[in-house]
Amino acid sequence: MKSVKNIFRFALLSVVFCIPFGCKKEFLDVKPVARELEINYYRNEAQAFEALVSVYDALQWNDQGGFTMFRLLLNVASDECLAGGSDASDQPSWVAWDQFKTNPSLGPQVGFWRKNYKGIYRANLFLEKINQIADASPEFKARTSAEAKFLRAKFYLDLVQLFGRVPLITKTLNPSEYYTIKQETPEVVFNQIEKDLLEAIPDLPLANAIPAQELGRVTKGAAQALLARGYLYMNIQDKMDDVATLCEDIINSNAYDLEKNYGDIFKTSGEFGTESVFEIAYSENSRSDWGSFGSGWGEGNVSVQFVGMRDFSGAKFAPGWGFCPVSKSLADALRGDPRFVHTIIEADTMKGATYSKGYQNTGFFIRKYAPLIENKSKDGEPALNWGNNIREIRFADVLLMAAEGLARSSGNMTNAQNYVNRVRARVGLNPITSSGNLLLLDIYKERQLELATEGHRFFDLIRTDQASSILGTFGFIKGTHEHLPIPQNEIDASQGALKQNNGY
Amino acid sequence: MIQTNTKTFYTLLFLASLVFAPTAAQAQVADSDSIDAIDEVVVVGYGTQKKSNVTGAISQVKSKDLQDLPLTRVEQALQGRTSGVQILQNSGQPGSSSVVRIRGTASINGSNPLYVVDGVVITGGIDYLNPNDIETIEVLKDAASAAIFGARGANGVIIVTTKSGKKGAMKVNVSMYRGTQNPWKTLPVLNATEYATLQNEMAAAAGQAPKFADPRSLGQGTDWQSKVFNPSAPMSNLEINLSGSTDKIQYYASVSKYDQEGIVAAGKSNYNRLTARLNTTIQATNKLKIGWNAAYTNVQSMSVAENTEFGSPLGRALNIDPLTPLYETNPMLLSQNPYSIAGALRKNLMRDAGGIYGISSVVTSEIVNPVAALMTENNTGWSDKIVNNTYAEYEILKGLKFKSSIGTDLAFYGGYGFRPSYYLNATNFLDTNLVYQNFNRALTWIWDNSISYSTKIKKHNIDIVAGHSAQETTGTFIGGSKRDVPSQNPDDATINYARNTNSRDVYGGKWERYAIESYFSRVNYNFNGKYLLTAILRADASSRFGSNYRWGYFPSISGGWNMHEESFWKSNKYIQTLKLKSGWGMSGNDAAGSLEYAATISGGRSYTFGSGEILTNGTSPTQVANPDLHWETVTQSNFGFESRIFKNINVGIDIYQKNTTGMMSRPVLPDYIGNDAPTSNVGTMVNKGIDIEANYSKVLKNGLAINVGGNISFVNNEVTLIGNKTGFLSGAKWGPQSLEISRISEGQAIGHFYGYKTDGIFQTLDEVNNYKSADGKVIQKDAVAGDLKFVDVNNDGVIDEKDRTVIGNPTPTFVYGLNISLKFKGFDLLIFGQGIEGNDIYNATRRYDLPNANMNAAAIDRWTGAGSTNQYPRLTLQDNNNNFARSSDFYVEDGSFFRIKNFQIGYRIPDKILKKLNIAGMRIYYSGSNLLTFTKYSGFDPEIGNGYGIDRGIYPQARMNSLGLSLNF
Repeated sequence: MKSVKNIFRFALLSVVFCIPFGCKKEFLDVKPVARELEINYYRNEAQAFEALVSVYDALQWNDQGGFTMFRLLLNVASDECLAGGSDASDQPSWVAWDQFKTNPSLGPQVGFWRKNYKGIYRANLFLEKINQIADASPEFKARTSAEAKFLRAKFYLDLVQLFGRVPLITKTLNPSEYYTIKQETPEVVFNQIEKDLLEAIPDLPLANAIPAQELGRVTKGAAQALLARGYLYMNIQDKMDDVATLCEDIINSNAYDLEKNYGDIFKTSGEFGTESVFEIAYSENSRSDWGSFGSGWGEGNVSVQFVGMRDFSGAKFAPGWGFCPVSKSLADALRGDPRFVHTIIEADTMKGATYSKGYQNTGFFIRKYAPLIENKSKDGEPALNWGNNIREIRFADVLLMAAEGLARSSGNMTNAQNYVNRVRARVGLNPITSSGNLLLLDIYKERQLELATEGHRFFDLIRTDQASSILGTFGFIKGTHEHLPIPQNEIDASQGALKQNNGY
Repeated sequence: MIQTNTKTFYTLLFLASLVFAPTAAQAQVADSDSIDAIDEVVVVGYGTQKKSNVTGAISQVKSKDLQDLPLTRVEQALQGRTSGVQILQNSGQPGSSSVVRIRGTASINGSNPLYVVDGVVITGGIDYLNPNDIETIEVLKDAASAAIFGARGANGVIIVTTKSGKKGAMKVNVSMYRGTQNPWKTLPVLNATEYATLQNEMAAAAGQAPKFADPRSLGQGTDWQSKVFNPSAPMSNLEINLSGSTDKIQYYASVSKYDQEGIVAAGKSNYNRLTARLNTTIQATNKLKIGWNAAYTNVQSMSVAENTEFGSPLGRALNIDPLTPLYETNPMLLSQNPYSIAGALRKNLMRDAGGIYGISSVVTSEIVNPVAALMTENNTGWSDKIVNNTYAEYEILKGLKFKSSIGTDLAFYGGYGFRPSYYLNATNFLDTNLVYQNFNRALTWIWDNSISYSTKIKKHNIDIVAGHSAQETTGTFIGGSKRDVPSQNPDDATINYARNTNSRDVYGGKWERYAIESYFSRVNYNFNGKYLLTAILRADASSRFGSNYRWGYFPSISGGWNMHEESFWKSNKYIQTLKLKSGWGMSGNDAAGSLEYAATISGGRSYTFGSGEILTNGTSPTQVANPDLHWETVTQSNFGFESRIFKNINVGIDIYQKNTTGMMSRPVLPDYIGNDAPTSNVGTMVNKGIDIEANYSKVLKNGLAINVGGNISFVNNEVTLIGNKTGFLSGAKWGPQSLEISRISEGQAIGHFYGYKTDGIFQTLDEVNNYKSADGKVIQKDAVAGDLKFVDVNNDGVIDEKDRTVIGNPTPTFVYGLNISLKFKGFDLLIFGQGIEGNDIYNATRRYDLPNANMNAAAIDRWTGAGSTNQYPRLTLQDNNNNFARSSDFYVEDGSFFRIKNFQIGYRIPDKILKKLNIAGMRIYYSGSNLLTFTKYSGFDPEIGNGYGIDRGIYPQARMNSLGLSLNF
């Protein structure tokens, strides 16, 4: 009987002894350390501004889905540069675009797609949250909202140019909406781009009205120039007078001028200089390393490392990885032009220097974003921490866009010529005097030489219908290679919501 | 799965035990002393159980099996000794841990077992434990046993019990060994002549001029492996322990000192450990027992990079060309680039007494002079760990005990290092030196309170335990770095040495808490030792689970039948004992990270504004929230038997199936959504297997004692559901191009190798042109004779990504161990071997992306013309067919091996000699480790624990020879 009683006692003791040790509910609650819960966030201007910065952040990503530097890859796709690297297997997706052998699983499309849609999500999130913040001033809300709209427009413009038909998403999605998405025509997407930019322009400050520490934030001129670029690249013929108007408004705002010396534009001192309408900013101070590569955390510009001469040893330049060797055709086109030395490095004629000849070596390398010893980052992995900003929109581009807008809308021909000649005069070239269609051809030639290796040529060739004739030898097929394929993994993940582009 | 939102379910258990009481009330009291005292006991978590009554799958390793073996870590003590446990050492780097998988890999997340040492759950490293302090190790393999550890038991539980004092006078044991270690294998690579010849051939094949005019004049060149290996690396161990017991106090005290130098990179790879332990038990009163187990461990170690294609000493030694000299002495070359610029030597060239280290003129990237690179690596790690367990046990009534136990695991650890400024090649240089240091503190406390009752009513034996447990882990960290200190000497360099704060960098913070609260209970019942029953219920709440699923419940039930105890059992000479057992249970895996269920705002989404390149912080949500996140569940069924046959043979066989459900994964969402999916319980996995253990033990009439033991474990792993639309997760990547070489796919074993299948080599161009699809297309248009023939898996007439498929599997079909021990008079002999079979290794040691990198000597037998070989393709600088740039089965090799882990011969000095010296016992022995390895694998070592069977240049296990001495007083 004793044992039985003991079992009873055991049970009782279990309850008596153990239950009281039960912990308070809070014992299992974890307070976040050095981070916050989303449900407690977006309460004031400071937090809203951080959210806006995260939208800007997406602008500079080069690492989503491998090395996917937007402007650099556009050089590769055009006739200006080849893919390069150590050998053909170094960056297969670069080689594929260079030779128009991209397919849904091969090419740089994943990076472009992901980067822009992440940026769009952050812009959408910002635009949803900003109006719920009670104690933000109307001025703050207006300017930051305009910036978010500009950035959203920039992301969509890149997408629509790269992919054509893309999903148009202007709010953050609920899980129930994930697979109800449809691709829209480029026209529908561009309508949203135009709407965002038209709404943003009046709320943005002029470039000469913002303090030095705000350099890099979106200005009115940047938004006007992006809209003009959009009209041009979408080839909307009845908007050509708007292109001229927008660009002349920028020209007449007196907020910009051409750098005196062409070679200064791409120096560190030229960053946010008088010619800069919009730059994508990078820093040498983010100490990023390979561990964070792919996460978008780094703020450096790996483009610079890419274009450097492979294993270079000599003065002035730091070694790079030998990508984007400049084509002989561009070198020939620039030969004799004062801009040649500021655009192209002739590696084989440098005295006292050596480099390794990589894949598709031509001996010509990009000068504008070349790695200079003096710019090398002292922290983190140097390859990933170059601070060179990408000159996304230059005043020279605005002048040439203004001229093109005038030329294509039967505007003032003298003004058009003057704008082109302003660009030519800076480097000591004779003025042009052409008009009509010849003027247009001169403008296109000027764009090629002035903006060489800055990543504009590929879309210029497409919009001016020269792609087949110039890129045909590389494998370009009209009707297909204007756009990249939609990434295969995206088509798979969308559960049938997305359709592949023509020809892929 | 049982899930309720309250603790009501648990309360029901207590009610059930109350109901149980009156039923038993009719039983009569029986004499509880009749329990067979000499029967072996097994530790089962919160208690012990007689081995004959165990119904779960539990393996045991005892200290006598491990005596005098040169073990550094507890995992090594288990390796090959028990069935159902696969253990592979990560590498041969001193102090390296092992990958431990109990009954297969149960999750794509964490699959490490739970370690419980003297009742304390060890959350940090287990290497603090001196293997010689171990009394027993129990491995709880099935869920019927592991359910007592609930939400952390899914990967099995390893319970370690340390030694305690035995009754009697104080015993002193001194043991020591000293040995030397050597690499057991070097790899054949091309010498300078062969290298230059093949490089010329590669150039010619690409239509380029030959690079080397007279390869034969180059001779052997540099043997880089000999420069990197560190032969005759010493190791030693010294240990003293005292143990004994007085009337009221049992004690065991030990100190040990272990020092090991690595066989790679002299002076840069080593492990030094000091341990001290005191275990005491005090019988304070008749009813109250107080115990205290305390251990302190200090570790100092240095390590070098290993198993990486991005520059490890061995990876570099295999890939750098043999033309480059260790030291460059040619003044003409030294006056030129890369050694000099504009006529002056670079200031950061690596040099020592031997001169200036050579720089390769042909191999680039991370493949620099391996010896020079070692001079730039100075990485020291250290830890101070104190693990303590204090308990009191009060016997309220006979058999009814209350026990309260508090365990703490306090660890201080960190590291420091220095990189001098250096120039190794054009892309690997550091202009200003760098010193760095970090410091961490982690504390886990665990407080258990339990009630146990043990009784016998007639023939009914009942053991019950129930209790509560709370555990919390917290930690802090701080670290910093500084560039440009005024010293190039690693011993001098510290952050403060610089006396200025330029480029000084600091970080620090604290961990988010990790807390677990649990209730547990177990009933062991047996009828007369014949019919056995065990039931367990554990409830766990973890701070890592989502708010909707805070509590998880883990039940198990198992039964056994000792048939030989039945009256119908007739004594026979074939089968002496036979126990059948069967069990079912659930256990969990709380592998989620802190706040992984919540949407948190993260910083670091910065952007650069202003002209000073100043970063402005940005924030955004990291993921969508998932309040439903909960533990992964492993449901396991086990059926087995244990038997003694032919008097001297013990056999145990278990068959099991483990189903993992709710496996955590991040489903892949379309990128257009713009943010990451939360971790969700979406996957499933199945492991099925058979574990077999057998042991033969006999003492012959002439005094020869024979013990032969073996075990073999078959396991079949299959990922059955990933939970995202693609049906796979990308696995390991290789090289600068991030080549995908493994995947986790539905319907396959975890981490299978992935790539192209090959079908030999095109011997002629005709073969290329005749390799056509069904509709007549030539499949490999770019190929020529000598190129690999890739299989067009999807039959679409082209070789592209869609043809990639399963090309190998790192999961073995079975693992086995063999143990032979002989004793005769004073002599003893021990042979212990271990093997795995049926697994593949992906040999990714060559940097194919650097065509000038050196090659394994297998390249000598490359394809050179029709009929020359069907194994190794032609060599060319212009590899249009991507023979090497594709992940293919060309790189996959059979990874099976059997290894004599230990071989020992000892001699016990006769007592009559020792008596005069006042010595109670003395044994001297020779011990050899890794003396023989049987494998077809061509790399350094087939034992690759880390990295899922991918060899990126593993640090091989050392072959060790040592002499030891053990003294008892």
